[in-house]
Amino acid sequence: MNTSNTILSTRDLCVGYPKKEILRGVALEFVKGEFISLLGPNGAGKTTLLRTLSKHLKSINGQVLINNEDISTIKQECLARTMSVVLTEKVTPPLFKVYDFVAMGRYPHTHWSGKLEKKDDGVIMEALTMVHAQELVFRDLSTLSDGERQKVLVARALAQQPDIILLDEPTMHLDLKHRMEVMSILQRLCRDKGICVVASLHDVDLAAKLSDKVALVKGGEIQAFGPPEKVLQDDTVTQLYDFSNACFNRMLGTIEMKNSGKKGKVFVVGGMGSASVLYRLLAKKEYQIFTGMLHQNDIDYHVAHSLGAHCLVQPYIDTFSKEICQWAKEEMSQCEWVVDTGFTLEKVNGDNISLLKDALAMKKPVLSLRNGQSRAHFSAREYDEIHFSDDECQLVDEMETMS
Amino acid sequence: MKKEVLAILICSLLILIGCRSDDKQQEGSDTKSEKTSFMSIGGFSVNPIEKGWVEVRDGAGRDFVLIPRGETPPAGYEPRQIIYTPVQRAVAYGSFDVAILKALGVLEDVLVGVTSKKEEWTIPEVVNGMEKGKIAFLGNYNAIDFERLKQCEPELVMTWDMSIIPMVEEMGAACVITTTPVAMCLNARMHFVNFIAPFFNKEKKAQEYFHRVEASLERIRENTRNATDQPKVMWGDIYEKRVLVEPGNAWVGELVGLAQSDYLFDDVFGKSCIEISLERFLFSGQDAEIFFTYRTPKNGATSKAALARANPMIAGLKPLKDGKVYSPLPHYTQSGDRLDEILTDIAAIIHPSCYPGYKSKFFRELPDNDPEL
Amino acid sequence: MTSTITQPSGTMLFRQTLMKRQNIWLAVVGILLLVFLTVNILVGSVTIPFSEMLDILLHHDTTSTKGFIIWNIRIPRAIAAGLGGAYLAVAGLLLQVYFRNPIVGPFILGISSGATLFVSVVMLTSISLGFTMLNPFMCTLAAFAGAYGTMLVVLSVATRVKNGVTLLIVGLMMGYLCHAVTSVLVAFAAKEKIKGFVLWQLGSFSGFKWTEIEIMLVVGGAILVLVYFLAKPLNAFLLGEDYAASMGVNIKLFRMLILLSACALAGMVTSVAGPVAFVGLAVPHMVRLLFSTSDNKILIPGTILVGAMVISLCDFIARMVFSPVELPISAITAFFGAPVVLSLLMKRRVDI
Repeated sequence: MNTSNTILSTRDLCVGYPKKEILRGVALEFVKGEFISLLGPNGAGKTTLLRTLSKHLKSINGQVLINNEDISTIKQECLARTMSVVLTEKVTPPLFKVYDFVAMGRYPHTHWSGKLEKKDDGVIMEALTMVHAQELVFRDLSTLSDGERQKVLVARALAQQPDIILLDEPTMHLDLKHRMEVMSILQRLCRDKGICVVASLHDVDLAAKLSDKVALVKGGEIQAFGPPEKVLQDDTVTQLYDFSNACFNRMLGTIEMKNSGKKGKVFVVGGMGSASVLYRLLAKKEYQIFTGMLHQNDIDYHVAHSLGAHCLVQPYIDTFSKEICQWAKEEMSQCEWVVDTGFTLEKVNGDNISLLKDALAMKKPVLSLRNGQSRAHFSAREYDEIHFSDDECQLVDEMETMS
Repeated sequence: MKKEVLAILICSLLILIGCRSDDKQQEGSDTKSEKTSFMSIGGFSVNPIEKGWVEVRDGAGRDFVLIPRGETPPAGYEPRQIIYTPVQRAVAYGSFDVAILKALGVLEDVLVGVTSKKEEWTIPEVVNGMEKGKIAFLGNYNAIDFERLKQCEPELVMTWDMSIIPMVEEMGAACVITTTPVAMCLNARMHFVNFIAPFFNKEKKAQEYFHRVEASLERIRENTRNATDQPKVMWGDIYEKRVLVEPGNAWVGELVGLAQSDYLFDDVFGKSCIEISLERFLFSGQDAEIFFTYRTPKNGATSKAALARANPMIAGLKPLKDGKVYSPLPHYTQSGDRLDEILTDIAAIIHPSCYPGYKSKFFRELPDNDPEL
Repeated sequence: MTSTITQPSGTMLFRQTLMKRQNIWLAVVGILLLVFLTVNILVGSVTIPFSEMLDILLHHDTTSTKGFIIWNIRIPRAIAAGLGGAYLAVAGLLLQVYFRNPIVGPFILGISSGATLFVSVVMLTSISLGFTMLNPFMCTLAAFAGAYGTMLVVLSVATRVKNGVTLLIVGLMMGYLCHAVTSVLVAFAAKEKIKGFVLWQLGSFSGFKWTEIEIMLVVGGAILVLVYFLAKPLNAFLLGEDYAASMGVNIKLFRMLILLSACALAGMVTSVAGPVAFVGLAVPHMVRLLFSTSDNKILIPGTILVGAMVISLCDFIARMVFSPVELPISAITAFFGAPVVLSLLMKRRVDI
């Protein structure tokens, strides 16, 4: 680890309150220009840790080092030039314009009288531009929406010209658009400005996609710290949040809800990415899903697997083996409905059409999303028996009326 | 916004002016009949109606009707307005009211409760009554003990505190307010006895009292008619930085004018002990020859030097330098029954030449310095 | 840096025009203050013709009664009223910023109650605390001891407390406690003594001595200078203690200085003039709305001037409306102050 680039590190840090220890043995190293996320359930100690790192809270034991200096020896003013924060508390000082608010960030750099010079003005406008809020500059602070306010808070932290910014749940009350905006702003701060950004987040998928490092905070310690690609395995995340009926899929980078499957068994013949949406819909409607035949590189497989469906999957990409075809047929016979997702026919999944024909032979209700392709593979009589729908919702509605 | 502020200012001024009650000053015609015909005295009024009943109005404008005992009251009056005369058990807050009871000769018989401790009273009848247990101490005037009040079984409570009216009426007694919003003028002060008298059927005694005071006023006018000078008089005191004085409409102001002298706060109008500006006090004080303070010797008015020491601001007052300063003696406030003597006393202080050899009974002239201990 | 919607010069221009407007207002208020001060000296319950007035002023005549009145009563009163108003208003501003609460006044921490308690002990009981019965400075010293004693208690609590709200509650409780003890003393006091005490409780700028003025000027002036230097951390404090700390403010030291200044100013005025209500609460709001900013660099001088101006005007009204009868100044400040603040708020339709 290149220590000259390390901006903040902790040595055997123990954080908490006078009578209560929250985390112990914290050993972290943050490098300049890195984006670090703190993940963990509520009450795990993310905020406590951040407050200790920003010197708002005294550590119980151990050290926090900024640029290799113990934080307790650094004067408040010096620290302010290196580190700035964005907190969860809502500040609405009266009669403040956005400009005045961001200008507050210049505090550690201005004269004792607080007078702003041209240089300060430049920094303020630059900060506002970086957060795409330059058109808000003369607005009253109290008239801003949550998203705009969050951006202005980040701008204020930027105006301090820090080397490291600590953010406590920066995306908490934001809608999706602003959440994405703030996260991308933070990422650019790292890439373009070389600022180290430390944020406590709840969006595991965002964290996985944007962070350089993740720290998992749970059970009174940092359970893991490192790149999300290493740290965020399927089961670590599930265990981190104690999911009982959801599951994190590392490959997809999403969390899928497991279903109860009360309403009955559906066999979905899919593949080639055509079935993902339908799987989710069926899971939401509480159907137990069986699916096949899929190849392991098919996204449909991964989605279905996350949803806890019974998958008939072939690990290698080739035409389906006899065993798997037989198996599929057996599984299918136990299901009440069969759905054809309108998958494109390729050389490797041609046997799925035979599967559908078998379904028709078994007198199973077959619903289909196909709109005309591969008609030739079915006889006219078979074709008539298929129930066609335009989209997934219609299909499921029809399925429900059938039962 | 200016218009609104101006409107508020005008309204407030009007309200304050309206608070000044009008001073009805009608002399009552009296000598022939025992009961007086309609009389209005500075807010109070006494109006005999048929069958020997008397309608009265107290200082707060509340009406009552006095009915002799044993008779049935007339219709048209609420129970709380009916008072049976002569009243046999009465409670009084003010020392002036108690003194008037003494003047009417009924104090020992009717007074059952007071709001000052025994040690504070100089009227011998009250002290005796309290020692014997006949007159009860009801507690401090701003928070009397209603249980003790009930124990006294009063029929009449004379007070200035309107907040006790509900409790008193609940006990079945009548509550009569004996003060007015502004200071009582001399006439009102003299006639006050005529307001109290009907309650005890002592109209004759009241008339005697009134005539005594009237006569002493006549004598004062006589004696001072040939006075050579018109001394300037001021009546008030300074408390730390604030000045309180007797206004011109108070009875002292009137008396001073009557006795051929100049009351320096004649133009001030309001209640007794009203605050004025320090500069006006000093400005009037530069001409004053006689200065009456509120303070008794017990509260620091022991000598001119003592007063000057306590407050260097007034050291420059003419009376303190080469005039005369008078402080009331402890029994002054409780000597309302000797109003005629008090008036004479004050006149003699103002014009010593007209009263050779007179020794003041109610005031003490302050020496220049405290006596050597 | 590429061109954006607003160029840096655009924001500088914006700031410069704002500053110009604020400076104009400062000048206007300053001039008004001078006018009121002059009127307070020239006009009083004793009419002094202008020619005599000039004579007295130019020749520093204190021997004649009129000269004495001008030099030892009117001028000290005019100055005291101005200083008193300024100090109370600044104390109110400091506490409103510190607690980030707009309904806080300088007596919220129990200062006036503490002063009243000590004054009641000295005036109403036979305990004279080492002063002779009618020592001229008795009340002032007692009030001083009471105000600063309360301040010390509150400050010692402030160092241990994390939350501003806790401190507010402590101050309120102290106030209630002092008030309770005072009521008991009043209940037992002799009638004669109560007269003077009740008068004291209605504050007034009457009867100031030059020695008191000098102390007020020197000590109060020093505190005002200190407060002006604290304008920058005060601004940071508007964002809350956490953000202020992250910007480099030494919270412990700052907290102490702010509370000390506010209590010292309020205590000083209370000890020499008695409790004067409403000014400390209302004037900071007036100033904020007048200058439309929360920047304490402007608010502090603005508050000093507007506070002095408001009290000068109110003192004039209290003295002159029913001259020579004096009205209590707290009534006048509330009577005129409340509608003014209300109308300013209505005009702006701003939530403070």
